[in-house]
Amino acid sequence: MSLERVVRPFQAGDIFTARAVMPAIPPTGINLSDDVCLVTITGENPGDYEDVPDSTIFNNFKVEWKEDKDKRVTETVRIEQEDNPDNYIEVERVQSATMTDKQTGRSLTLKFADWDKGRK
Amino acid sequence: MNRAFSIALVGETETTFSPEHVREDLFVTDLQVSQSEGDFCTLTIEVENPHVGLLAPGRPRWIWIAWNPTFDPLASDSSEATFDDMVPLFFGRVQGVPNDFIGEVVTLNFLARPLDYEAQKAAVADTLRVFPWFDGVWFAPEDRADPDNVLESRSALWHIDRVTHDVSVSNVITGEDGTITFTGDDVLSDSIRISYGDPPCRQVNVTATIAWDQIASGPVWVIGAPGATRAIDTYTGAGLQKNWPQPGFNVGGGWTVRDSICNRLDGTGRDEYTYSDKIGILGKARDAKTVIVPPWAEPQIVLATFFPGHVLVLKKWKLGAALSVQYDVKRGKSETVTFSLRSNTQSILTDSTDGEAVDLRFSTSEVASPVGVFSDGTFDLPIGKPWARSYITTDRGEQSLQYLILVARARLLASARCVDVTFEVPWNRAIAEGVSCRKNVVISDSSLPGGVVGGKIKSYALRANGDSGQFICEITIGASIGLGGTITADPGTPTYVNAGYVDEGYQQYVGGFAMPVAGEVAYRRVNGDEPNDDGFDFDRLTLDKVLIGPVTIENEAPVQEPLIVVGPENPAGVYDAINTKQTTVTFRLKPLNNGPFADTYEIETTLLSVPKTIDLEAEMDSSS
Repeated sequence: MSLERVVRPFQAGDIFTARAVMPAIPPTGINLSDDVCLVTITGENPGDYEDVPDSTIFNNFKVEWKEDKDKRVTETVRIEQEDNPDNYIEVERVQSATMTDKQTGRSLTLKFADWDKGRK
Repeated sequence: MNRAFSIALVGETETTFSPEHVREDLFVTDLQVSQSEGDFCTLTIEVENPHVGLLAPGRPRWIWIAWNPTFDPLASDSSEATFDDMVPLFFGRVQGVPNDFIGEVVTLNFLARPLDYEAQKAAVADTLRVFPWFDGVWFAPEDRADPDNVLESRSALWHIDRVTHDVSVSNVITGEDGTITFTGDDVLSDSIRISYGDPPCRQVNVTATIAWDQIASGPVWVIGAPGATRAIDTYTGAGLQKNWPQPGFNVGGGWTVRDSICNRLDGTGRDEYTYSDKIGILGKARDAKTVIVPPWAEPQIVLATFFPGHVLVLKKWKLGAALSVQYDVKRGKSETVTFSLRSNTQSILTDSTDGEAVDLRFSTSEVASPVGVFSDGTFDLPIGKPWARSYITTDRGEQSLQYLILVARARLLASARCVDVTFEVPWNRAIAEGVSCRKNVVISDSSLPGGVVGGKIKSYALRANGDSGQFICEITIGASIGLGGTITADPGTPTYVNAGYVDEGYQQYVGGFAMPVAGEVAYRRVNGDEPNDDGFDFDRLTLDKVLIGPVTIENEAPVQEPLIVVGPENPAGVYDAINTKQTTVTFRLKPLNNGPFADTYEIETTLLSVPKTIDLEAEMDSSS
């Protein structure tokens, strides 16, 4: 009989259960976060304008600009005499007119609204 | 008899049997050399009391015993043996002082334990730490170097040679050093005995849990790309730029902003507001919208001549924008592997306890840590990539699974070797056959079930008695009660080309069976299975995988411009109108901070084929 016994691993008990390596995670299946993760990026124009001298934006209209009459938008308006609608005139009102800079080709559309403002 | 043996007391360094050891330092009257599987060999001798302190300082404490096979105990004139005649039987160290120190005859015990036993065992263990027979995943770091643990998956025990002191391992089912065949004529009469051990374990239920943290991080570009920004034309650029998310902004769900770019590309010009009464009209830069505020309504047709008033010039901003988000997640993952492995064995009892199952439970959290070093010096990080979705479905995980099967297999095989057959054979025959615990024996005798039994030598005892002149060897073998046979398995479906088109091992097979030990046991592989989680594959995490709906940019400049046509003299009104349609960028990401995820894999296994070395169902010859 030996004084020293050689280990017989597969007969010596379960070495694998002697240590708890980490807590068990309950088999709850798929756990999903309820985070929304919505990103919305926006912002307003703060109206931060700069007061500038008028000379910077006006120049010689008569020389530089010419109307492109093909783009003119008009409407014909009937103006009747008050208390006597049989008397009337028809006028052509410009709704918008497009001006073209001959040199640069840039265009500017002028829109005219509220023609009747101030009329009685 | 004394001429039959040489008995030399030697020093510990005299580890090789040499001519000078052919002498008789002690007068032996009785001798037994015995060894059991897994144990050191022992020598017990009765000698005439030498009346000296065997353990006194300076005295040799080791012994060489050798046998002269030509010795004839019945011969009257036995000659002295020579070195060439001798067969060394034992080399070992005395274990202690004699029990009866004052008698004429004393009993001495010796042990064949190598001085370098631990080192030898460690060296052998190092060679056995190979997949799938050893897997550091299943051991705590402090246990991985333990040499004994290499045998957990092997139906084997340590073996220490009684003469050379070489340390090796020996399988308990099939010995490595050949088979000795004994017939009834070789066996001493009436010496055969059969005994049955405990009812064998027929089923091992394994439950193994693997847990780790799935750690993943990386960028995903949501708007633009590296070096390429998305152009945005807008009249609300100031606010958009101001509110553009900065790096580190927490989006939620494991997301934060990583790269943030929102640069103005059209310069630094501000909106301008002026009053003019000059003749002329506008000449501003192209990227602006001019609002003219005429205070009058007459004349009816105005083609522009003279219209003094306020002019507001709104700058249209051109922004170059890009945005990437970073995910940094740590998600709890666990995989539980379960299977039951049954052995295919004969019955030895009708009791219900026959075939009792054993439950083995394993757990590890080591797969995300280095568990070893490969031969090329690289670390064995089982999970491979910390962001891996699954472990057990990987090639490395399969090795861990195979290890579990091998552990279960070892238990079943060792348990199935539950019939012991003990018998005696002549001393000389046993020595001539080199009997050891690394050998198998087949013994045929009509008294045995089926007339023949095979098995591995579990123990032996060489006994010589000077008084009786009896020289015998008692041998006990362990026979397995399996049913034999070979397991075959379907390899599964090839993932690349049809089977046979390329060499085996060149492509992966999924869904089929694999055999950790050829012909013994097979299991259905899970290497192609989809993990049961939220589906994110961090190896292929592109924008389309994480985005809910499209990235939208609403109310860019073309949408805002119609709002500018009518303007009051107060510029605030213009701005109010614009701000009703602010340029807005929107996107939504899927959260990644999900979990924990728990998955279970039920592994289908075949029966374990167990060798049949005894046929308990065979007829026995009762006449013998």
